Amino acid sequence: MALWGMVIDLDRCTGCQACVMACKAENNVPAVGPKEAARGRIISWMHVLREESEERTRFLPRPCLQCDDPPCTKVCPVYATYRNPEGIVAQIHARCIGCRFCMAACPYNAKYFNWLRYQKEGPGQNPDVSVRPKGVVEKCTFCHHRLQKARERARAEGRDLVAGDYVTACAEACPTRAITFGDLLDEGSEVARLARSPRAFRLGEELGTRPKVFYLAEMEGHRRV
Amino acid sequence: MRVSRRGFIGALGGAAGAAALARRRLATADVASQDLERWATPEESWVPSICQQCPGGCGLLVRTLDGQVAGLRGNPHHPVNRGALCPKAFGALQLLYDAKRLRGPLVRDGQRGRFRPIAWDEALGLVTKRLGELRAKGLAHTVAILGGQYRGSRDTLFKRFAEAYGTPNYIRVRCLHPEEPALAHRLMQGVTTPLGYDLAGARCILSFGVGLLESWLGPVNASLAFARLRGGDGPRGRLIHVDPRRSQTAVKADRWVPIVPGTDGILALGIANALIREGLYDRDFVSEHTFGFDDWTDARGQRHAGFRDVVLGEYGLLAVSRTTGVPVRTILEVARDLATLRPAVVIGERGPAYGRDDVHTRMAIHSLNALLGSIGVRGGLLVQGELPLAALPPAEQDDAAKRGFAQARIDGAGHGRYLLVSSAPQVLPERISSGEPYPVNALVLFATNPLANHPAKEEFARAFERVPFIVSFSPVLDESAARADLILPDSTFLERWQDDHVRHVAGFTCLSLARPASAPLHDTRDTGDVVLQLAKAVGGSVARSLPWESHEKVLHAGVRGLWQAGRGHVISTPAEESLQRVLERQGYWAPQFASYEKFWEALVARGAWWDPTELPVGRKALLTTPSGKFEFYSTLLRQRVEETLAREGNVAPFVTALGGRDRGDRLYLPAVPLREREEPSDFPLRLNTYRLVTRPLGGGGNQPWLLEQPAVHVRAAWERWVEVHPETAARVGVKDGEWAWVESPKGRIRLRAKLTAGTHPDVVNIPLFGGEGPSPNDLIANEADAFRGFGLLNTTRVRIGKA
Ligand code: SF4
Ligand code: SF4
Ligand code: SF4
Repeated sequence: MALWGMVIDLDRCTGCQACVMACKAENNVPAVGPKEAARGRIISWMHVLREESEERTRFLPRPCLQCDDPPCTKVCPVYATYRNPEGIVAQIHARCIGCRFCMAACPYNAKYFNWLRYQKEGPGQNPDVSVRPKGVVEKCTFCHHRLQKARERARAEGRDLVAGDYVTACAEACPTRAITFGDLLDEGSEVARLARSPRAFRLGEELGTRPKVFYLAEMEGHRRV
Repeated sequence: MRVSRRGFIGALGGAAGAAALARRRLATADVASQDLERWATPEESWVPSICQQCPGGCGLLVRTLDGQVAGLRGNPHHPVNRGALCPKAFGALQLLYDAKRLRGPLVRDGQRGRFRPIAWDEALGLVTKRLGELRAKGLAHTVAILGGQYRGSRDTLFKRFAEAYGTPNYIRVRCLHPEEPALAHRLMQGVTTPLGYDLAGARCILSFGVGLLESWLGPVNASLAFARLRGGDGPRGRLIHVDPRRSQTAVKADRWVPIVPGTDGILALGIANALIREGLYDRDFVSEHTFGFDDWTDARGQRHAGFRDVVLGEYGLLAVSRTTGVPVRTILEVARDLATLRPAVVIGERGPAYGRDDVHTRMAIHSLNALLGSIGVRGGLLVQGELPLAALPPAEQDDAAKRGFAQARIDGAGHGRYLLVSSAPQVLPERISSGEPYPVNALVLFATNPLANHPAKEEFARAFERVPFIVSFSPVLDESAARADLILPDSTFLERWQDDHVRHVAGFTCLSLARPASAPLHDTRDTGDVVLQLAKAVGGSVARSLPWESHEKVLHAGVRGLWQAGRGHVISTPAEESLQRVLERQGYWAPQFASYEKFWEALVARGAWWDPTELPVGRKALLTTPSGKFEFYSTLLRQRVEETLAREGNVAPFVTALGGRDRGDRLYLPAVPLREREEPSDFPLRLNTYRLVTRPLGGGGNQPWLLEQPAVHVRAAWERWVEVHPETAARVGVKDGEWAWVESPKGRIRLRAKLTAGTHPDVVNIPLFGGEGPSPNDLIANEADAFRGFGLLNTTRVRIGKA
């Protein structure tokens, strides 16, 4: 059994948002339009935050951190969100009743609510991801449908899943190669190696959520003037 | 059909991969219903294509399901981007499916601005008739073609059409000419083709205001190089960025050097001073391969000051520091970084405009590359080889064409003030309006929207009223198309044949080729095809010069040269690629394909051809000046001035454009006058514009994803803004997020103020927004840079106030 995880190198991330747009195209996340955006209802499964401090600015891309001990799943009254055996925290839209408890429970604001029916019927959509009606919560799924397709393909070719068969859309697009994705349990994998780096840290470690998204801190050389 | 497929998947409770699962089950159960088979198993294919949202030319793989585009990703084998993309690439999906696209050709219905649909044949008939009449009357030259930012075969087709038809007026309006070398490279090295920047091989990159990671010549390729600087497979390198604004590139740089706007050239000379004084420059390169470094005596016995004396004498670090606002220590440290982290490359191409000091500023910046010996070496500037495309037979010109083509260009490019440019679109409105030197009887607009996106948009609008016949190829009814008489909508880039040559990426030559990923969604046509159809209809020598049936056939004819070249490869998997490299290192090159047709098929199926071994690292090809050396003292520039003087009898407009007075030797050296700081005026602030990484060519007004999340350095969605320093804002009483007026002598616009400390207090920054709505073009006068032919996007003086 794999444990899917991600490492994001903040030394490299330029805040370009290629990951954000790749995610939107992959998962049929629509733009909500000026009115809804002004009410803070933009849906951005992958969202690039900006952290400003005295000495530096850094960009921090935040997908759902796929907590290994997720607070969001525990509060859902209808089991619409759960941690699957490979560690991916899933969201079943057909079951979601829109109570938004999970949104309140997520310390990382990784969940989004469909206040209206934002998704439009239209060409150009990815048929591999499910439709979100009005009134349900959605979030990053680590492009879970890609795992299913990769498995299908491997099975059809009569082989096991190998590293690189399954990558998320954001990792695939990132022009600075800041995002590494893979199986954290596969000792030899790039993602496992980076997660053990002395630069690695996790967001809100003290909360005990044990995210499977790791960050790599910037290296020396950041000076203002 | 599609709706029901979606419904089906929805009904399955949204189980991902449902379609794939259904396919297996159906197959094993041997259910033979054709219909069922079709909705359950969309035929998926990945079609290679080329992103045309910026000049970067990244390779794409477009996902199609039953021929319908349903996603895209980077082409993992494409040497320009290796599978990576920038945010704009995804906007292409929304560009394709934009509900506002024109459904077919439109013709003016009564007064301008009103349209009715028209059939293609009839529309082409109208253009042919008009073009034929003008040509018959000897007025071929009064047809002007205004083309925007595009490269490759479409440029070839338009150029050829203009030549065969008989107009010298094929005018390009764009701030960047990727197929021409930067002026400084031309003047100091004599090169006639663009140089490549070997960013991936450099350990230190010094950028003067160029948005390396955001815009420039293609952010994806630069970002991949940046990733390597950040310790990819070698030691960590350094990125140093000079910019008045704390751009994303500045944030990510190892050192950000804020500077008084417009003084980049002086800083470069200060760095040169430090390199020379501390003996850090590359003595071997300078003594063997440069001219004009030391004082010299010409054939007439006249003595000339060399670059060293000028720099040491006039650009002392204290003076430089006073003018540029950069501390002396910083100048020294930058010089030491450049000298110790080799190879180092210095970039000043494109970037901000420097007004009348433009040429000299860029020469000053480029002279650092010579001091560092970074010319013709890995990690520096390299020659970009020519693609071995098959030469097309020469265009045929009949008498009418010859007569028309010999007329003076209406924009005066290549003469007087515009001696060194190939297009001066900013002059066009004035010339059209005055009818001098001749009236324009027909105007063709392709891939450009000057009525919104050019600083001279008001003048363009007035000029349009004087043109009796305007044809636009715009796929949407943009500001310019709305004033046309006929619109022949182009297909978007996912719906047509296309090619692209990326010229600034060093170390290889590459041609990308793409077939349509989808059939045109509407009744639109590839403009390349339309040009051929028009040529055929005009007939005679015009038809004979453009004899191809379709755009595809043009590409097919040119690409044959690649196959015949006996080098290079159609891109392939990494395994195959490394095998080819091993073989090539041993001197083997084997043709991959038995016939040209096989080669073509493979190229279309994989998306690009490249030649990674062709590494003209040698310095010879890079130094083709009269002296065969890198010239600190540009004899080429002097030649141009002297020739012009002999030919036109007057060189004053050009010399004025070069910096004003007669500067003697200083005119040909990279010397930028140290000006006193300007006195505060009614417009005490300077407007700096820049391009966001999310802004595609043309503005992207039809791409909601990009409009909703335009940037991460300010909070903004679906709106336009001005970035103001908190101190400046406090002085005029504007708070963060409030409305502010930004006013220049030309006009004023209302924008939301975003307070950002990351800017010079005397500068306000406005991103370049395209299309409808307030934009910096409402503030910038039609003052253009005489050398780049584009608006001065960061020299306008403004003031701000509370709105
Ligand atoms: S694509 Fe990469 S560099 Fe760009 S914002 Fe995302 S993580 Fe950062
Ligand atoms: S980041 Fe938030 S949504 Fe994602 S698993 Fe953790 S708690 Fe749940
Ligand atoms: S850099 Fe971005 S916009 Fe430019 S070609 Fe590449 S993906 Fe397209």
